[in-house]
Amino acid sequence: MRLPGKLLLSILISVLSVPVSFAQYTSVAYYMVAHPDDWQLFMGVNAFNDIANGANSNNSKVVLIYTTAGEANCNGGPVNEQYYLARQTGANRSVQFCADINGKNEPWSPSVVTIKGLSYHNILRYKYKNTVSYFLRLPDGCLEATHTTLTKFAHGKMPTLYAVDSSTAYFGYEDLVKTVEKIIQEEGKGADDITINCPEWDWTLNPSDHPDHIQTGLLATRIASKMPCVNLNLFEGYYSSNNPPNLAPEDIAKESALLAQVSYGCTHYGYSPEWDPTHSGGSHINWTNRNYFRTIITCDSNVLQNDPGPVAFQDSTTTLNKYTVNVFPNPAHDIINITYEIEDSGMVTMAVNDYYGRSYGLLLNETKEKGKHTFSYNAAQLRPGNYSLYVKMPQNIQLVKFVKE
Amino acid sequence: MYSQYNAVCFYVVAQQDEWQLFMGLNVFNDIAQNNAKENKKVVIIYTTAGHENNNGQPMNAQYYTARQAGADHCVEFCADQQGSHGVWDSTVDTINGHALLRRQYKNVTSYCLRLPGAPDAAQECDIKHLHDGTVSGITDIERSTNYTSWKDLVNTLRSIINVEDSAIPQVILNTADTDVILNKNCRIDNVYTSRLALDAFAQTGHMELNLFREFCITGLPANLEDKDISTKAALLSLMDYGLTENGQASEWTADNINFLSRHYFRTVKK
Repeated sequence: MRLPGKLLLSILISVLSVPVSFAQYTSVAYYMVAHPDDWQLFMGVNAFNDIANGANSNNSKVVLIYTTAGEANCNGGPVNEQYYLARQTGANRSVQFCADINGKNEPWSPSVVTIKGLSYHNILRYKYKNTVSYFLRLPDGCLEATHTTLTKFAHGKMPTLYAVDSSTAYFGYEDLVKTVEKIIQEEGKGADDITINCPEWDWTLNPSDHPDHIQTGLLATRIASKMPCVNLNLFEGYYSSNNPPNLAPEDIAKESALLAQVSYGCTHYGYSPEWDPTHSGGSHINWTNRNYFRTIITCDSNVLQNDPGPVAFQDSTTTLNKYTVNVFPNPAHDIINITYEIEDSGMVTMAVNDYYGRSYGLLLNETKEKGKHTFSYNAAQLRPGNYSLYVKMPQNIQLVKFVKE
Repeated sequence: MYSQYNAVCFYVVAQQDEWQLFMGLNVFNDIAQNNAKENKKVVIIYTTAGHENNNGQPMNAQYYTARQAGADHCVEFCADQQGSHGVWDSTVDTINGHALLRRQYKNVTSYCLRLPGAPDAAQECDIKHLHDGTVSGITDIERSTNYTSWKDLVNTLRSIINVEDSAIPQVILNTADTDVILNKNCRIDNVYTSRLALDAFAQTGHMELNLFREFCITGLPANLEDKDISTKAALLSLMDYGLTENGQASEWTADNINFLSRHYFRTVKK
């Protein structure tokens, strides 16, 4: 199951690069996510049921598309291949666990397939029973988005986006859109029941989520909007831990089982588990008793009519306009004063995330009048460390780093 | 040699999946929360090979090794919560004249006696027959050693205890409840394994005894918080992965899932 990176990848390209051939299924469920642990944490119950039930039938399959490698290379420098392979192993273990619930273990079929978007791309593809997984291995943007990111690429700020393993490059965002669209078309041939599951991209419903999640949700929705009658499930991400638990014990068990497989995959490569409540990165079990999503049937509505448009995601390389958010003191012990200015009256949303993306809740979600405002936040309950303040204003969205001492 | 530990927690079970389903929270906490304050060592003793559930077919080595792989995954999952992945150390030790498989992973030691299990839950097993004196001895399924009497088996377990609890101030035994009213419908394997453990610990002075209800808990109210259900589900999923990756059928079944939201035991101190 483990694929030892670039070397084997290059061998496989030369040996196994074959035209994509697909069996006929009448029902296909796509899970399009940014990171190797996203579907388990936020869409686990649906995915578990789709894979486990589909493995028991001959006409239903699941296609997982991972946009980023999830290498979390937030500080730049060389990409840690072992880390993203660890997460990939965890993802594949999760798939296998679900698929084997109703049957015996089978061999995996890894290959590199060539997909034509606007140009040709070699993409890692794993097949296991009724599941197919595509690992695009685009750069993981991290919360601060200080390096190459899907968001920047989508907004035309980068002409070319390279996969972290150098297996391919996308020349413009439309090249990426066409490539993923091609995967979805080919895998869905002959199917009349299509469901696409992806992250919720509406910031008002899914505030302070990871920018890669949002961008992956937008990418999936853009493709879905061109397809006839697709069930589009849009899932809340990090923010869902602020919602009341809504899963029954048997569904908690499913999500927890999936997270355990992810965590086990990581620890086997020498990385920290995602489980332990005392873990410095925060425990992911906060999400295992919650699943929140909305469903849109694309033939009934214009799904992108509420598209927020280009998400004005600010980062350290972007010149901020005059409507800058200021945080002081920074570093802070307890009270943090936040000043901001909005050019038009409208909704202002603020949230705090830690370095790992764990949300500490909404600080503000109110309509404000045009002009300057000040908001005080008591950060006494935060543990010392680095945090991001997410501020969504009518004119843009900003992330501001602050340090709790 | 183990004096750095403040406590040693013994789990004496018949089946490879028994502690995960019925004692999972205690095991997870004892292994994973092995912080400086608690500093616990865990010793898991599996009495049977757990090969009973083989659809009436003859003993299936692949099945019990798959179950053991699953149990090992669970141990690793718990032990890796506080650090990176480690390496198992396996030896065959001679204890009370018997060759026993001893495996160690971080602060966890496992002994696999691999005695024959009952063909199904309701049937009598070789351990009971040895206890009742209706057989002259029992041999492990790999035919590596033979126990000539109940006393021989008890003394073997006692020898393990003496090796593992040396100089550790606090001793805790976790096993199935032997009270058949509290723990009704329990597997005979499990109950007689518990009797074996109690006999082996009879000479141990100050200790804590946790007696777990097992199969009957599905008739009791669910009593676990969500995060504890998650922990037990994690253990069952890793147990299951050991089975399926080794070609065996999944045990992620409705019956087993029912156990995940329940956890019942009583504590006795002596």
